[in-house]
Order: sequence, then structure tokens, then C-alpha cells
Amino acid sequence: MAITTAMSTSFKAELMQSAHCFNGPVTTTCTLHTSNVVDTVVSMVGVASGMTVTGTGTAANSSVVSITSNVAFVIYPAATSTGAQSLTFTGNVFKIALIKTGMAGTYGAASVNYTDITGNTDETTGAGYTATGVAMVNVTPVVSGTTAYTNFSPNPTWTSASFSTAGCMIYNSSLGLGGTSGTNTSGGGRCCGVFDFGGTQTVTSGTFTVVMPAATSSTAILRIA
Amino acid sequence: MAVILATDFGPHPPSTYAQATADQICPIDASLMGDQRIKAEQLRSAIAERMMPLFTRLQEAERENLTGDNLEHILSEHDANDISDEAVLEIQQAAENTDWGQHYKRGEVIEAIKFELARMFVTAQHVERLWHADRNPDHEQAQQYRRRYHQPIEENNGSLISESNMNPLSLNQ
Repeated sequence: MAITTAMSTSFKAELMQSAHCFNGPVTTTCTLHTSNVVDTVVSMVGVASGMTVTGTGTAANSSVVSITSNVAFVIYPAATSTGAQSLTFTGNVFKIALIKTGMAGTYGAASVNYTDITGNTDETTGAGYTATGVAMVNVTPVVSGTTAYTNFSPNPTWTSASFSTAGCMIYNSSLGLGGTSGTNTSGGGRCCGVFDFGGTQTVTSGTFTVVMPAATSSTAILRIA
Repeated sequence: MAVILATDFGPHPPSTYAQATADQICPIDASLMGDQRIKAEQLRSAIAERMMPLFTRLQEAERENLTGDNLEHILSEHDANDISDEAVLEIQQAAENTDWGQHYKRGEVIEAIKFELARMFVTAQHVERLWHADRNPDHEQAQQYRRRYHQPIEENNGSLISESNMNPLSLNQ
């Protein structure tokens, strides 16, 4: 079958449902109170509901529940200590999974979920490649003119790699929206887009890197015009 | 337009990064013909040439840091600020006395190319760290670094540069 480079149609709707957070990591100083309230935040720029929170005094798997003012937010689970701390906020984890050559499925705008790939047993296999692909580091979306775009850095890379691939899917591995997504009943793995590599790409005991297009309003990997 | 970098039997060499970087920051419009096209291609080659020693230096420095006593280095933030500034100056010098000399001195252009340079330098550091992790399976910090990127999600759920047609996406496509 085939891969046609396209933004997933379901992704467009999910953006309007607040299902994807592309914000890059931001660190700022806040005051914790051994409760769900965090205040005197030095800067709320780049902080959004649903972002994960890490830092001294936070519990495992903490996230921002809601933003209550320009200097305060609610965290869950409750902070484990009191006092000023430097906290880091991280958006959703987006991953890039590679699609094998000679794939059984058809991938394009109608692709909905990472499980579209696994359901067809179409994920690349080989040395250096772990199923589900690699996690990328978000670069907070920006605007140029009337176009918003986002990016990732560093470029996704596989080392000690021996495999062939024909394309990839960028998807959100975080659970940001409930309900079923394609064949995935957990809501995770929501597809952002699929990309054709223009032919078979092969690497042998080496390094495989997908270089993201330049981060501009006309070329960035994911853009809303 | 994105490119796939595939290098057999090891990390990408500096020449691969240098060429990919030059391609990224010196795009040549398909409509450019004749002498102008030749000049643009010469500029792109000159930029690639000037990037090569920078990638060589960065790669060597990263390897030295990884093999030193500081086991925590691999978990430190990627740092490409200084070398990116240096690279911007190299690009401006390469473009001096060409039709694009002023272009590479514009504030918004400098900002854009600095991002691309930093991303490629950081990628080179990232590749070195991943290889270090591959070669040191008992090195806890190295494995921690690898897991940041290469960990399955909890599912509840000689170098080759080849162009692909991995076109950027737009909602209004």
C-alpha cells in the first residue's frame, strides 16, 4: 500500500478539543504549600493546563490542573513540601514512529492513531529501533505573520541502527483526550501527521536521522495558516 | 523539504552535518537559473566548507567530554549557543561580497538561521551521546539519557544524504 504525506484530519479536530500541547519545557520559580495550590509564580509564560510538572517538592506524575490567576495554578497530586522551588513544565510527549517498506496499510490524512501502524504490523523493525519510535523534544509554537508553527529539536535519531523504512508518523503519546482514537481505546497515540520519505531509506549498523524542515512559516513540519 | 541522513557503521561525519546545515540555511529556489543559480550553489558550498571545522570541533569536544571522568556530562543540557554564534559569523563572511551578503545580516534571518544551526549542532551532540550509550550498556547515566528518547510508551495503552519528499504540512493544504 502507500504513504501520502499529510496532516491527520482527526488531528485538526483534536486541536480544537485541546488534545495536544506542543509547548516546550519551561522552568520558573514558584511557591509550594504542601497542597494543590502553587502561587507567586515568577512567570506563567508557556504554562498550560495539562502540562507535567517536575521539581523538588512535587509528587510523581504531577500536572497542572488549572490556571487560577496570572501568578497561581492548581497542581495534582498535591505538592509534598513548602517553600520556593524551581519547577519545570513540559507539554505532551510527541513521538516519531517509522513505517516499514512494503507496508500493508494506507497512510495519509485519514490516519488517526499510532495503532493504525501496529494494527497492520507496519512498524519498522531492526537493530536500534524500539517499537513506538523515539520521543522528541518540543519547541514551543510561534507565530510568523498569520501562520503558527511548531518544531522539535534535536532531530530524531537512531544509532547502532540496521533497518529500512519508507516513512513515519508523528503522534502524541500523552493521554490528553479521553475516548477512542481509531482502534486505540485508551485515547493515547493520536496521529498528527504522516510523512513519505520518497523511497526506501536504509541504514546498516549506523546512524539514521530525520532532519526536520527549517522552522519557518512556510516550511516548518507542522503549520496552521 | 526535509532530508534523511543515513550513515552506515557509525555516527554521521562532520561533512554530512555541514552539508545538511548548508542545505537548510541556504535554500535555492527552483526558479533561480543561470549565473544566479551558480552563484547560489557556490555560496552553499562555501557555507558547507566553513561549517565542517565547526562540526569537527564540536564532535571532538563532545567525545572528549563523554570519555572523561564527568559521568554526569551526558545528562547535562545540550549546549550549542557559542558555536552557533560563531557559525553565524562564518556564514556572514561566506556571503560577504555576494548578492546575499545583506540578507544574512538581517535580524530576522540571523534569528532563523541561529535556530537551525543550534538544532543541527545539538543533533550532533545527541548522536554522540546515543552512540556513547550504545557502547556503554553498564553506564547508568548513559542509559538514562537513552531512555529519555528511546523508551516504549506505556501503551495502555561512508555517509549518505538523500532528499525525501517529506513535505511540511499545513492545515490549509
